[in-house]
Amino acid sequence: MRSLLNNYNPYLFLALAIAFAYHGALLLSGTYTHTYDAFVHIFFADHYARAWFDHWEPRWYTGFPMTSYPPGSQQSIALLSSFVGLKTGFVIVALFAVLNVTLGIYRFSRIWVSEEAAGYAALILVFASCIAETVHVFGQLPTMFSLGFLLNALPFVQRWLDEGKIRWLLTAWLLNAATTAGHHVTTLFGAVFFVAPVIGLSLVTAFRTPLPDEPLAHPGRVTWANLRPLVVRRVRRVLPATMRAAVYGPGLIIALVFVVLPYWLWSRADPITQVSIPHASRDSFIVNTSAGLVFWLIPYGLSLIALPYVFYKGMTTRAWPMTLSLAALVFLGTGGTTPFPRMLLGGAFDVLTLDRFTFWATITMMPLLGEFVVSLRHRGLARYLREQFGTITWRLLQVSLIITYLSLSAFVANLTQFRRFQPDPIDFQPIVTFLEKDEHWRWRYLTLGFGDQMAWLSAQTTASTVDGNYHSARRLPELTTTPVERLEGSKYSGVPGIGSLQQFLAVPDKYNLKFVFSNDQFYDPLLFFSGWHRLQRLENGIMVWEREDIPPLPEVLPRKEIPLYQRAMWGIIPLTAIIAALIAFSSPIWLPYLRWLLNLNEEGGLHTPLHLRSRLWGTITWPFRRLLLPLLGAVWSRVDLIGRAQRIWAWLDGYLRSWSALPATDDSPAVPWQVWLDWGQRLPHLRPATPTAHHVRLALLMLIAVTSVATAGTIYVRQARTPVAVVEHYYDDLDFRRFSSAYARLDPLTRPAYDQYLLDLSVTGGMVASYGKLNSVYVQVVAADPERVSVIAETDWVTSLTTYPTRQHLTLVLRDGRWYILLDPVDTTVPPEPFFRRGEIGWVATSRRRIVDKPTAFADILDRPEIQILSARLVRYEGRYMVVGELINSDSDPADVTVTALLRDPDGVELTRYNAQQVMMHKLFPKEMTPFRVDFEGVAGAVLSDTVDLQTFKPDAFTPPLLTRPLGSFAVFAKAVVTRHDLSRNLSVQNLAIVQTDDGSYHLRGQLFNTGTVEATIPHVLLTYYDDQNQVAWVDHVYIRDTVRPQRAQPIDIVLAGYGDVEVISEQSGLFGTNLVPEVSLDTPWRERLPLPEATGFASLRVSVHAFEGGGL
Amino acid sequence: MVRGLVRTILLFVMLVLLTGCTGRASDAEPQLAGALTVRTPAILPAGKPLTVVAERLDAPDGLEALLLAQGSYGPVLYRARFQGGRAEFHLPGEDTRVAGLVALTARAGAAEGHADLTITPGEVVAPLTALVGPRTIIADGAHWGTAAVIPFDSHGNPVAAGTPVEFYLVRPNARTETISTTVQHLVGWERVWSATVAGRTTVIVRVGQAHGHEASLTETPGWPVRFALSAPPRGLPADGRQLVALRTSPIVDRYGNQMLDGTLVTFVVEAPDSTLRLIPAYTINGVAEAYLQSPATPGRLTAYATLYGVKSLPLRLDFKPGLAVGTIAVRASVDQKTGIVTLEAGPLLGNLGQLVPEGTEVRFTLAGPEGWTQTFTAATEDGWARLELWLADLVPGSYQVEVTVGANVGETQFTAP
Repeated sequence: MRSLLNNYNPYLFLALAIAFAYHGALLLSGTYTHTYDAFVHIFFADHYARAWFDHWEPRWYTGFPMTSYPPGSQQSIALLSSFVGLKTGFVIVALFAVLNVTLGIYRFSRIWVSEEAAGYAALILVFASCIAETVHVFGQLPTMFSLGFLLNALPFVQRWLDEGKIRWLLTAWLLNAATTAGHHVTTLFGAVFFVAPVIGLSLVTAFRTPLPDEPLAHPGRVTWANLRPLVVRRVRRVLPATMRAAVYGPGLIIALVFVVLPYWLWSRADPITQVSIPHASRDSFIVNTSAGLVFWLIPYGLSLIALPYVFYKGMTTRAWPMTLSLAALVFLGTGGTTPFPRMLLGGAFDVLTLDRFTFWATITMMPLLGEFVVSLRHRGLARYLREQFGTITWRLLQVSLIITYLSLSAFVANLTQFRRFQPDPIDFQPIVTFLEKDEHWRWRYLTLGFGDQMAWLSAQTTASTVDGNYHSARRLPELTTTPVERLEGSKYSGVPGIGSLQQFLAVPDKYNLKFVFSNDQFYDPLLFFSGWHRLQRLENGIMVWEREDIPPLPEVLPRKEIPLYQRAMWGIIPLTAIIAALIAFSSPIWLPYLRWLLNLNEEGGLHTPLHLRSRLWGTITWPFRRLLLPLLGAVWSRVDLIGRAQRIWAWLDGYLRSWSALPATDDSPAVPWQVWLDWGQRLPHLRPATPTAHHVRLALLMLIAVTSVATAGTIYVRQARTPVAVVEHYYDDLDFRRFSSAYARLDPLTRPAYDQYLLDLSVTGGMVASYGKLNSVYVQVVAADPERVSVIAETDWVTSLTTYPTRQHLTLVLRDGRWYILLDPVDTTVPPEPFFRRGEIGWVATSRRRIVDKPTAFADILDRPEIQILSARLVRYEGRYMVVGELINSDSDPADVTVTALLRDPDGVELTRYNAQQVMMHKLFPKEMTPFRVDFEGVAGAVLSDTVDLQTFKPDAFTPPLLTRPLGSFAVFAKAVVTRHDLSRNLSVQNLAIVQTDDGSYHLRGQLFNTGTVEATIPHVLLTYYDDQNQVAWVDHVYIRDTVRPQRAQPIDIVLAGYGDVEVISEQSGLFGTNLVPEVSLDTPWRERLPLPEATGFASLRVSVHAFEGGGL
Repeated sequence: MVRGLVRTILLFVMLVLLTGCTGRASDAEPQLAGALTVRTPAILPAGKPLTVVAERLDAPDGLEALLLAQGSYGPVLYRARFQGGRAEFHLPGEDTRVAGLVALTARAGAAEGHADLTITPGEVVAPLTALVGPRTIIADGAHWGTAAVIPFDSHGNPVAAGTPVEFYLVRPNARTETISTTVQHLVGWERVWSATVAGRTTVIVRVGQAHGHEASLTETPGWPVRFALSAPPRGLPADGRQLVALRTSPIVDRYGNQMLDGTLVTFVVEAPDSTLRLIPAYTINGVAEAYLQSPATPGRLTAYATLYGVKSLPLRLDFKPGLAVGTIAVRASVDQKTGIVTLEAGPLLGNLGQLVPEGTEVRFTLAGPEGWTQTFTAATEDGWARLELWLADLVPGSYQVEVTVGANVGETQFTAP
């Protein structure tokens, strides 16, 4: 151990110790649980822990192959999980990766810079913001895991090229294989950005280093006479290194291909059809400053101030090949800020996450940052600073840099604590228990608002979800054709995101999707109006939504098989490569001891009178010595490959040596080729400044710093106090529920008491107030006096159902130099009754058996309620195919109805099918009618992606189906099960009137009045238009923005559709309800219809109202 | 090394030779050809042991005979030896549990014989599982459900066709019925026609001495017949606030069965100005109740209730004036210092002299210079409605103000400088 300490850099040991303590403590504190990727790798590890050799994982995306991602780091976790569990296993592997990278950066730096600088580089790495971000914010374990092996392989590559020992070659290959096992992309790009500079350095070094037997003469000028000898001389110098590089290269490629061969075979046989998923690292960092912060500024961190020095130092020393690589990485890491990375990378630009290049750039910087520290401590920079600014400034600068560097590291490592990228940690035990209960695992589930923690849930259950967190592997067209990262966070993905989610919620039977675990009430309206109902709120606060009438998963699920040898390879080779690499890499530690142990020389090593070692060694090697070695020796002596090669090489080298001989007189001093070094030397050097000048310059520096901060602060405060800014901030405060801040922006003289203000807000609910997210606010000044300003605030709110633009007139008054908002009066109406009572019906479905753990018995299954479809038509509206109609629950039990419509071609072949989603009431009372409209949709985003800005959130956007054959007929199926959920009809409509406005359009105006005892959070109005034959001609619907509280009214004003907009395609159809005989005649004189003016083209209108009551459960 | 190779080759050759030197074939069993006589009863109750005899007088003693029994669940093989020309095969009761036809084939040497055996199911055992579907039908004497049972014996065999089955029905009015049928194609079933009294019909099945759990059939009311509406008999003020409870008479079908709880009823209310109100409600104990908010303007409303397309008798409701009864006092004040015009209407009183309800909507309609007109609304607070306008928004000139509350109107005017 002492010899080890003496042989290695003390800074390295310090760095390893600090890395162990610092990153170990952070990991143990659970930073990884807030990261993006950690749980995904834990989920993969869970798969290997459950079934090491099974390549198929059925729990995500209806199944995907595990051969789609290199398994090294995840199998390592799985191996450890048997002893310490998955989470601790992750911590151990992540900590190992950090230590491996720390050691690797030291060894990598030794190639380029001095021993001292390499030690500093290791220390710098420990606290580098890029490492903190990658490990503790992104959770990119495979990147770190493989990077350590790659960095540690590079010195072996160099030694192989320089010395040609087969041992270094084998070690380098093994480490490359381990790199591939962890992350193949690191090997792929590492070969370009890390290995190539090392090979370049070796070749250049060999090129410039005379051979021992080389003539010393050197010509001053290159002439025709000495051209050939000079060229041959250099060819002779570089030929060995070139040949070794030629040997190493194919081995590297074999390591890249062979270790993860099943991956390459999979990607070839099943190419990724996933459309590009937007990633902020491809944005312009000037436009998207947040992306610039996360993917550029934070990774570089404080090293940015050393960047000029890094390039200067790199290009003027032997590190220039690596500096060129660094320049390329820095350039590619700028993402979409300039068009050049896209031009350079072509199609790969939309697939790669470019922050990886920035990360590698920060890694390649490390050696030169070490040089920067050396220079700052006691070389050029230190000399310059001390001479020009004095010792105090020099020391202050050093201390400031160290403190800032450490602070930045701590800040970045804990960034997820300051600014949450993930929802609060969720206790998954109640969900796991729920899935295990009553065989709920027989259906698929979906999580909403879980963030990356959904992977941790998946790791704890065998139940499967249609979603997942590994988009490269998914195969469902609904997902592969959209740039949605995850369904569970689809609100962040614009149209395709919410479109995909809507499709899964609209036709859940297609995916056996029965349960949704929601941690984000944003999706509640969409779930409710898609026919889902709240089942229960679990102990952890997660709401369970359920859809009735979903078939369970089949007993045998489809899976894509691969040959047995590939499964065996996947389970054995990557981990073997890692273990072999570790053994080979650590050979300098254990090999001397092994040699000593196995030393046949009785005089050396361990010696006993019984000759135990020689006997043991003799016994072990006997078969080889007696059988194998003689045979091999005989073959070897026959073939004599090495001898032949040596003889060929000696012959070639002799020729080259003779061809490189120069005339003895052709000699002159060497000409330096790095001429810019001379230019630098010629620059005038500054004279040391006087002590007085030191003080003045220090004071000036301090003054500039203070002035800059003060100016920036003043500008910020002034901007925040304009009337426009006050209104913008007010809405922002309301959006983020900062009610005290919002209250502070109201006029102090007229605003209500704070408690009253909160009370007024609390009763203002509805889709926007409770389920909306402020998308944009635009404030325009319409009138301005010195002390009073009138503005119009146009806000755009996003909900899971639709977007709501609002326009509000606000007045601001100036008081004591600050602008305040005059608050509009709130609803002051009082309900008619102080205490209102109303009878309600309760339903419950109980089995008559005793409670057992068996599935529901046949005798306990209730009859399907009788549903009669009264009429249906296939129409086209604004270019979309829709089936509109009406049905009635003629049964005596309440029904949860599912309506499916099919389109067929003239031959009766089905073209497409879809369910009625939002435009119907799914839960029906006995004898209740509902209109329905089936909006046939294609795969969300498949068509939109060509025409719509993907970043724009339009939840009501529509994706038409792609029909390959002409339409022939259609059919409608309605089925139902008895339900007891969401049965309330508290809203009535009053003062309904058809009004024609100045622009000639017809409006339905009136009021919604809540006669119930529960707040109607989101009222939903369904309009059924009839023709003169009593047939449904069109169905429309409107969500009312504001809540209707009990015994209070809310005005409505709905624009009516025109008959001319609706084109009837077919009235001939098959209508299939659950009734055997029709119970209701079409000729029934329904009283509750409003006659419509003839000009509308329709005969009458039925208004149906139901509501989502958000306060339930 | 050469020696070792030679030894190995020799060893291999010897092994090959040894493989070829098999022993002489043993003496053949005595051969028997022709037919065997198989004796067995034609019918056997399930679960009884059985002895099957294969006879052949010339069969040598000790000759092995095989019996292959092929039944519903596959073949079973039995062995016996001839003794005195008879080979007896003993089939235990466990092998005769499955009812149905069993083909018996006996073989000895080349001789073969066949016989058939029918295993009949035993007595029906409890519990019987009576099934009824659909479980809900309309109690109109025209709808029917099906009661069915599959009786089994103690070995799980469906009972024989023709086995008598009896269904006992207890109707909601306690009347009992018996339906007799027989098992055909394994099932004993019969239609159960609805009666005219809604409620639960209990279905009990009996086959022989075996009994089962009860099943139930729910008979529900059919189409409703016309019904009436009622409202509290009192003077109803049109204050735009109070609720009036509308109630149906018990809604029944033509047989007098009340609609089940939760049946949806829609109340339709027509106003003199042709506006419409739709109020959903549901039945509780056959009666639906809905709440109508009184209108802000007096007049007669007509109410109906509809269920399943059936309309109730109309109910007429008269509302007398209830808002801002009498003269509406309106004041306008212009404050040039603050630049604000204040319009006030009040005190606004109800039909009993009380202040109008809080939040009553008051419309201020302003008519200004050059035909400028605009309407603002304000809500009452303590009987007063106030509106503040910004002078900067108004064109200088004279303004006429009209204030509307319910059906009453008040006026004033002011001049904007």
